[in-house]
Amino acid sequence: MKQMILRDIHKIYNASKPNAFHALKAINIEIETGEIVILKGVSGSGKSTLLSLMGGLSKPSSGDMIVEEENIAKLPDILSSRYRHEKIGFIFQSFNLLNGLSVEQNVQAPLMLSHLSHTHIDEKVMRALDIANIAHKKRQRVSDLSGGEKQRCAIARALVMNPPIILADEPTANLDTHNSRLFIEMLDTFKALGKTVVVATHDVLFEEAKAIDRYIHMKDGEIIP
Amino acid sequence: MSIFLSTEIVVFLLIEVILLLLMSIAQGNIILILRRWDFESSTALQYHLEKKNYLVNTILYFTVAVKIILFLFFILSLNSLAGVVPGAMCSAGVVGANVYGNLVLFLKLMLIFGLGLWFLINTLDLTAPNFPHLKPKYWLFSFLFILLCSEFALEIIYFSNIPLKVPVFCCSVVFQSPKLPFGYTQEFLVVVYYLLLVSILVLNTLKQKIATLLCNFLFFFVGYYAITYFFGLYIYEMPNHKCPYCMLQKEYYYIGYFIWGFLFLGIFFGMMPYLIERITGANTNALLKYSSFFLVLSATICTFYFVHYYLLTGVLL
Amino acid sequence: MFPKNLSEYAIVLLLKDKADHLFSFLIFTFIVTLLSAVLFVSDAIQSDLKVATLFQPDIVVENTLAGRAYTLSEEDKEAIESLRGVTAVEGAVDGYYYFAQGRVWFHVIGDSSLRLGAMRVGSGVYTAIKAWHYEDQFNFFTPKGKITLNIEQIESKATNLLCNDVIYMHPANARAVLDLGMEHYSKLYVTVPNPNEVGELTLKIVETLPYVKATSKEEILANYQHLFYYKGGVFMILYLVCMVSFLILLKNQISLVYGEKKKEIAILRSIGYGIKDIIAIKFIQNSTVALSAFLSGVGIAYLYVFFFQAPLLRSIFLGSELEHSVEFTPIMDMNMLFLLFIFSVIPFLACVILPSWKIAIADMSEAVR
Repeated sequence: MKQMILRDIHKIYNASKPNAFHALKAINIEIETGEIVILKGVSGSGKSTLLSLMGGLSKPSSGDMIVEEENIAKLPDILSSRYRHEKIGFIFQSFNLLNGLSVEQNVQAPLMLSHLSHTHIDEKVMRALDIANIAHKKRQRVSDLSGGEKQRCAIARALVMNPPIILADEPTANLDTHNSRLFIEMLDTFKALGKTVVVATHDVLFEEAKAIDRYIHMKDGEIIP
Repeated sequence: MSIFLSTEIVVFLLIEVILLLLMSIAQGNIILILRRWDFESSTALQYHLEKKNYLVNTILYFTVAVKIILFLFFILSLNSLAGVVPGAMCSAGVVGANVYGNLVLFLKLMLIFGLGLWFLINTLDLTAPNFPHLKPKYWLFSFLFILLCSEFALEIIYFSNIPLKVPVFCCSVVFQSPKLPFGYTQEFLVVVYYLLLVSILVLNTLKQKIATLLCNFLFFFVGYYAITYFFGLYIYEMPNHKCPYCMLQKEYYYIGYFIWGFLFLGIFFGMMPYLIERITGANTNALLKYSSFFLVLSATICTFYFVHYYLLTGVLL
Repeated sequence: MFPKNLSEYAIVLLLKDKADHLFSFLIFTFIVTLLSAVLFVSDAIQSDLKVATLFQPDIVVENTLAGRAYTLSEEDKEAIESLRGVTAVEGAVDGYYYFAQGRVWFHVIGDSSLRLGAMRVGSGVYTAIKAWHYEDQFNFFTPKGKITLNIEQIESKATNLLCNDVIYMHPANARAVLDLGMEHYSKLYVTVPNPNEVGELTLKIVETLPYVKATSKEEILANYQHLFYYKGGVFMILYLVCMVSFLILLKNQISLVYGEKKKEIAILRSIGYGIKDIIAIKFIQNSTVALSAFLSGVGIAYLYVFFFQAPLLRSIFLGSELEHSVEFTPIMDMNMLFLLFIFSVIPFLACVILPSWKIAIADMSEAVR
């Protein structure tokens, strides 16, 4: 079943100004449920822009994005934040954790919008921490963690709401080889959980991964067939 | 000394000014929204308006809540001003200090009702993600905004005209009989009060919105006269003490707040369903049961005082 | 009104950034302390006054000619007694004695409950004369010679303001000290049992005796209140101080919207927090700061006024030197707390609406890159 359909997506920054920049041109993609897709391309090719559109962080200038039969390209804030909350788990390049809080408090963040009881919330948090293999550091401040540990905390946060889609933007850019390999192994776990995953990266290590179903190559804002 | 140096008045007017400023900001944005809002379009302008809509909503939530608190504060301040205004022994003297007093009070009550109506429509509007009642909601507020500005102007005029050297009338003069309208007697008034109450209860149960709206509106006046000219006598236990305000004081255990509060709440919930339906088309008949509940509560307290006095003394005032 | 989990998380985020909010907390506490202290002092004075004037006569009649105080005669007393509605007229001996050494005026009042040769003094009086070595007795110097009286009783400090510079003595002694003849009175106290007739009788007295001034109890009370309200000029300055502090507060709140804060809000938005959730968080945080600062401010002001007796502030309100030995009786009622709350917390929250909105709608996609 098609989980995500992108039709004729364009993204133009500073549209009516002289320094207008056409970041994405006529993007057409279809992604099946449970597929693990890599967006490959050098920096500036538009893969991060595309990922942020998929994640509902910004809106396309034109085109449609149908995710689970909902067109997320034209949603008002209240619905697009619900989309981000329930359908997407985003893993950022710079991890984007809340410094000053512990691992547990960071992973809790998405759940605090719900009306679940404390016990329920703790259960979900523990489950996510276990999958990401960071449960032993749950009380620690994120500012005291290593790069790889921060990555795993970010993964736990992305998983805690059990979203169907995981998006990762250059997940290994700030990691050493060992931790990068650990992340690539995570892809197997995502596959086992039935998640649809889109990773934007130019890291060659990903070519070793067996879990990957498809590569999409991008250059200058376009998909290269 | 000027009345404006009384601490309560300074605080009151300061907050009114702050609220007016905030509401003006909201109103400015509302005008823009009313002109260009189109939920279906996905233009940059629409997204911009949606963001402005959040600001307007936040401001209005805040100001409506504060306005209601401020109304209570206004009533309390009137009471304490009675100590400064010569001749006034309770709020009645302060309100009656000049011709604007009762006008201000009436306008304030109407505005509280209006803002309450707005609040209910807003709650309905926010239940759906596409803001189905946005335009009528903002037209209503624009109308209320004009009233709010008038209210402020009227308050200033009222306060500046409170005499500080010449004694004002207190309730014994203001509420002398036979000031009852149309020259009706007390007995007739009480009968009308109870009859109207029962009618409202029946109409509420039958969900007859228009009829209950009219009856509740009538009850606003009938209730006022009944409580001031009849039930009040049994609260104060004096045949000539006809005052709607004294029962708000500590000596009477602040029972006035409950009697008037429940009365107004009951009338409010009785009037809202039809108005909401007219403005938004939504059905809010469930509110009618709150109307019945609060009106019965208010009437019970009044009746209690009457019965209690009669049982104790065997005499009617 | 606000969902439980979100409120909890808002507090977690607040505590994480204690330092940022500390400045707002301190300024707001200062504003509330200042306002509360002023209100406490003025309210304490007023309630003392109310108690004092309860025992005042219904109408006080004085003889003023060309603005100076003259005496009233036995005929005047009888003329007033004959008016209908008047049940009693009492002549009073009341005046001021100048204590030259201490350079201070004492209020001398005749009190027939005291025996001849004895007097009862206010604590302020006692402090003044003790400084000149008068312990058990005091000498009054009059044109007719020296009069010595024994100090039998000293009013405690806790009694109200109005007694502080007063000396009570037997009317015969008072007459001697004030050089007042036997048939003359300084003032006449008129008793009118029906409060509705006081106004009318005040007018009748002045009609009957055109050269006197008749003041009703209500007018006296209102006069005292006005006396303290004229300090309203001081209030205005204080309010201005508060306004300025509020502006500083506002500026601080706005600065909290940039830099690190912006990134944090963007992170929350990216994981599913909507604009209204962010506004709710900001509101909860600011309400918490405001409420805790409010309670601290009121608490500090209470201690300042009622335990430390408000140094500095009391001289603004009380004026004359003798009044300094008065204690403020602790008084705080719900009305006052309500007033303080409205005066401080509501403007504070009003100030944070716009900054909270601005930060909630900021574009997140660039911030989270």
